[in-house]
Amino acid sequence: MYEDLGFEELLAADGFFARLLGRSPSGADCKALYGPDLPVVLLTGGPGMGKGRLLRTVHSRFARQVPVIHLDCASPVHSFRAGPEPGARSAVTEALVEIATLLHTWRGTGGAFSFPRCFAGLAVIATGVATDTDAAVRAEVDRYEKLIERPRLRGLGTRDFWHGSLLGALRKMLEVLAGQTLGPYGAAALTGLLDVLFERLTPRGEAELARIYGEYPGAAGQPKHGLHRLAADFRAGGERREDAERFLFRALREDLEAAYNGLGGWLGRVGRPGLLLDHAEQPLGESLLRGVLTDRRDGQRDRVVVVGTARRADGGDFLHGGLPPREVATFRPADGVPPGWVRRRDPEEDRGPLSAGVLILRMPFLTGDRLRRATERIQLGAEREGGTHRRRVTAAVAQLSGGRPHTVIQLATAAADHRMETDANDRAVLDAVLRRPDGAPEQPVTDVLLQELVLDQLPVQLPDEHHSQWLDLLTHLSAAHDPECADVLLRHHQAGRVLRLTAHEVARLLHDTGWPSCTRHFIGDFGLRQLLVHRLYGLEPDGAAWYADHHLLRDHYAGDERSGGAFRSGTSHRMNHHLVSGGVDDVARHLADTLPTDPRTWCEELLEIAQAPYPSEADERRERAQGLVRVDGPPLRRTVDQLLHAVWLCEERTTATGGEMARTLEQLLRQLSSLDFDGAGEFGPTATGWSHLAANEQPLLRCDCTDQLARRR
Amino acid sequence: MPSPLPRWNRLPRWGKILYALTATAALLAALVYVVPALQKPDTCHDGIEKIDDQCIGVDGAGYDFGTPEISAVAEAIAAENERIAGQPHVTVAVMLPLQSQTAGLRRQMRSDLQGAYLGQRQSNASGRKPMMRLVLANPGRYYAHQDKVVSTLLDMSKSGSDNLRAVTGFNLSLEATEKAVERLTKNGVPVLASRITGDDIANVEGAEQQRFPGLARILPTNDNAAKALASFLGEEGRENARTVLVHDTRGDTYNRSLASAFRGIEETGPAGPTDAPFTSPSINELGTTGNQFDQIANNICASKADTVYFAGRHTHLKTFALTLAKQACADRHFTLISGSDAASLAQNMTKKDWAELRGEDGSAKVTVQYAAPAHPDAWDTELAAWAENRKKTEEGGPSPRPQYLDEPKTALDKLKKLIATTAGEGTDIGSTPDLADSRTMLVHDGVLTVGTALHKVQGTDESKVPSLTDLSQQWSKLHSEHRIKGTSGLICLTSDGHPYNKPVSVVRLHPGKDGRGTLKFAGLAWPTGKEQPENCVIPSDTP
Repeated sequence: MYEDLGFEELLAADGFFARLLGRSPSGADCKALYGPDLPVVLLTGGPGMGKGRLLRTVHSRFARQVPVIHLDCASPVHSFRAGPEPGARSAVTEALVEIATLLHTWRGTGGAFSFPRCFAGLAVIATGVATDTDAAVRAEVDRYEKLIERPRLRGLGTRDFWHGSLLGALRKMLEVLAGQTLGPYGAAALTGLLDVLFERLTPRGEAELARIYGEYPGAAGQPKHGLHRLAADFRAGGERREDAERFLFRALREDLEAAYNGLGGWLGRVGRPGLLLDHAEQPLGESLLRGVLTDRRDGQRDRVVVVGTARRADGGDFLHGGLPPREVATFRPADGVPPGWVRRRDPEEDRGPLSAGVLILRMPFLTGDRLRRATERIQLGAEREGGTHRRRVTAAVAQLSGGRPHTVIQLATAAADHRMETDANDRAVLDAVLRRPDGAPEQPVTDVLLQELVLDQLPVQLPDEHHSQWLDLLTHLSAAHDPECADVLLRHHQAGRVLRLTAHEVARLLHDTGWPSCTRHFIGDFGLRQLLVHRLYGLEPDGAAWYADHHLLRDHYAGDERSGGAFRSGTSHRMNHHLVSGGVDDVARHLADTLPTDPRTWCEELLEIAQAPYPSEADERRERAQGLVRVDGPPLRRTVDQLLHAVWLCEERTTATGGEMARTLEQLLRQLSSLDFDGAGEFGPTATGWSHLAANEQPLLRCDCTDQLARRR
Repeated sequence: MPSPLPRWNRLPRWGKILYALTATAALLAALVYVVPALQKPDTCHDGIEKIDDQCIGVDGAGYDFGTPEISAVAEAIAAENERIAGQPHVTVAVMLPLQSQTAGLRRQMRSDLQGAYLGQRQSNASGRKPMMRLVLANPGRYYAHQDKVVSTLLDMSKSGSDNLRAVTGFNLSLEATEKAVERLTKNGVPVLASRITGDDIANVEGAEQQRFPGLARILPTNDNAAKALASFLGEEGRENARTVLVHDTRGDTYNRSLASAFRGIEETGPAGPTDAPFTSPSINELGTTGNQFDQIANNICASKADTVYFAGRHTHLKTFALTLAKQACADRHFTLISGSDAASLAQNMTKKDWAELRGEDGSAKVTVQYAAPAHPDAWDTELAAWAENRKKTEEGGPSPRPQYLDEPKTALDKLKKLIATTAGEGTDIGSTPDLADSRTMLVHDGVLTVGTALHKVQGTDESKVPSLTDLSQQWSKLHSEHRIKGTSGLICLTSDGHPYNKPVSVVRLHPGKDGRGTLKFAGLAWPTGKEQPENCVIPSDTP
């Protein structure tokens, strides 16, 4: 229903994908972008940015017009299929067979494809079956036979010079295998197969195999040697197997290229074939991407449009070859027209990082306008209390999602039936329940989102033993600001575990998963942090887990000698955690006690201390800021208490503040400026500045999170 | 609703190529077939153009030009053409208007073509080469589209497959006819005009540079015909006070030359009434001529004239004759004298017309007398008269019958026999030819003359086709020993292509007792005033 949300330009008739594939979704001709050297397009963005959704939509829109294959690299099915014959199959070969099979059954313009070149390679590695019976080898080779079957809808005028010879060779080989009784089975079968194959091959077929497998490392132009070594390398495993897999993938692309070349292809084929690799950050995807990028870096040219996904903004480590990431060609849909792309010239030339052959497409956040329209569209029919409710929900969705399309869709869907008070905290939306259209039991939207954004997209490098605690760790880490306090929490919550994750590792895993970082927050994504904060408070009754974590950190920074990390000082850091865990009066007293001092320093400390979430309980900050709640103590402390609550409210950024709070801020700061000490007058300009910022919903203290939010406005 | 044809930009290259080829083929087809079809003139038949509802062109394969009367004879000609197709042959065109709204004219066309067919049969019957293939050339009403037909004929004269060697026919002395003859002859195509009498479509006798090189005629000019008539009428026709000239002022070569010829008759005595001009709308339309004739008849009645020279076409002659017949002009009996076109008069007379002309005792109220090109009774009648005369004079011993009567009679008998043979063998030529209107005989004689000339120019090599020049030079040799024994009289061509002293048959309309009247042969008239010499030797003093 929302499959193209945010991707309208990308999917348009003359959009990026239409130009990349040379065909519009309606089947109209499109002037193809780039070529003959095609970039590998990587969709980058963290969880919920819609990479998978975009690939699925591209597939559903274009697959009728051009041969576009969608492959989920995270699917365990390939490894599962490869499992029974580890010597003759791998996840990569199974993925290649799947791709080839799908293209073999493609029925669009130009008709089906056949894969004789790829078949030759697959056939030779089939001799590596574990069971040394002729039946096993025959059964293994039989699996690939369909790849060279004559396509039902053949391209116009193509003469299939492969079909007879390869099929004949296959039959003959099976006969030969039936007669084999001695020797190490695989080697004998391989030799037999190659002999028969080349005996039957037409000169043109042989030339084609020589062109591809003759280039296999060590083949010295001899296709027979190449195939022999290919089989041997595959059996050897490790990096040698990767080489073999890369060659098989190359052979598959050569088959596609051949289908497009020649008279038949020229007459009958349209656009470019596409390979959409969802979850390409997974080993299978990385392996395929590495293969095509390496080949293209080495000068091999084919017209297969390879589009993969990557969580990290720089595309992933494998692209950079261990070097500091270099600038990679990047395209934002908001930039409008697709950019020109040329392969980056690296000094290392063909030994350079693979990122030279990549074009990164940054998945777009929803713009404010689009976000509002999407939310309103989702909520149609759920109108309550006039426009107030809708506006409130829209604002909450915008703030908590940060424009992350998936979060927008889920939150808006859940909030459509959720009652939300006008002055409620945005996080109240997280209490909404999500009804599934498929009839599955309803679930709190927080749980759904955390499942989808965190648990379903675990970092690839996250060791298995941490899978079970990953979400809980992140939940506790939502209270952390910097690696130091993160480590405190991690140590505490991993106590008793032998293998522990450190803050550095978690930060790297989060980075690899595509989550942004923030200098002031360990969980750098505002939306994710709100989800985790919400979960943390609800983890134990009465927010016990929340209080425990903050007390732990408060106590950690109890000594003045500690540095504050993300804070100016350990005290500030401590006060921050103290503020949200029941120490409001202490914090107000601390602040009042530090006066008189330099107003600017004092204000900065106030901002740091008050940049904190509010526990999910009755929120009386507004009333307290306005002096409507009775507070004991001298007037200065009462004023500071009011100011603290006003700043806290403004800085949380999940509650409505507006003009009323701006006036309160200004009034309180003006009162401070009238204090009788040197420099007190400096509160005056601050009063003006802060009230302006608050009136315009601008952050009083900027950090990466606030910048991220501002971008979405 | 989606289009059944995929959009261009969705097609693979083969589809685009197929579309492009189809479009190109369609375009080419349009260029090759449609455009010429659009530009191509409307046609009546293969090679016959349709212009102003007339079928203009040349055909020798049996096409009847939309005139059912000539279908049978056109088929007969085509069959004869087919018969001789395998033998060395040349083409001769018969150029005549072959379409008309008037039934009488359509019957005349049939008579003309019957003559052409019979002439062809006779020419080919000799077995001498080259054989003659006839084609019919229809120049349209009043020869209006002669230029197209002449162009076709000129092409045929240059074509090795057609080998057109002569054009005959020509039945109307019109300006268009003149142009056609001029263009044909200027381009070296010999023309033998069978039924033209106009003085303008004739070479000037004795001139050094001829206007129509290669033109031959087999009828005396109007001038000569008028002279013949004058000599036939004797003194009675030459008394000025008793003659009056009624002439048509419409531009018509025949009318003009005939009027001029009548004026040229030397007359005696005091001057008679002045010329009475009238203007007709066309050859076969009356228009207001009826009124004009009433006035003219009144005037004539008031004069002393009893002989009226009528220089006009037969349509108008008929009306004038009937007008004059109605006039009760006391005791005067009028004699109406006209030219060769009157030959068509009898065919156009209805029973009512005959009744109006009829006097009390079956004789005519008005004697309509004219110089017919020929009459089938001429030779028998004249020979009988000669025999009678000879019996009276009883000038010692039997003497041979005069050549100028005997030879044409033999030719006519031959023609009659051929008609019978044709009928006997089952060849349908539309009807039994009516020889009395002279058309069949004249056209027959014309074709025969062409055939004879062709046989004479053909050398010993039968496969060699005689040239156009050979034939046009041959005309002037057709006299004396090489005279043509025509059914209309001996044809002896002068160096200018004129028939020397060709007799005309003076005929009268004879209403008879009832029903349709007949043409009654009155006698032969000779332009020189006396018969053709022995062997038709042209005297050297002939200009």
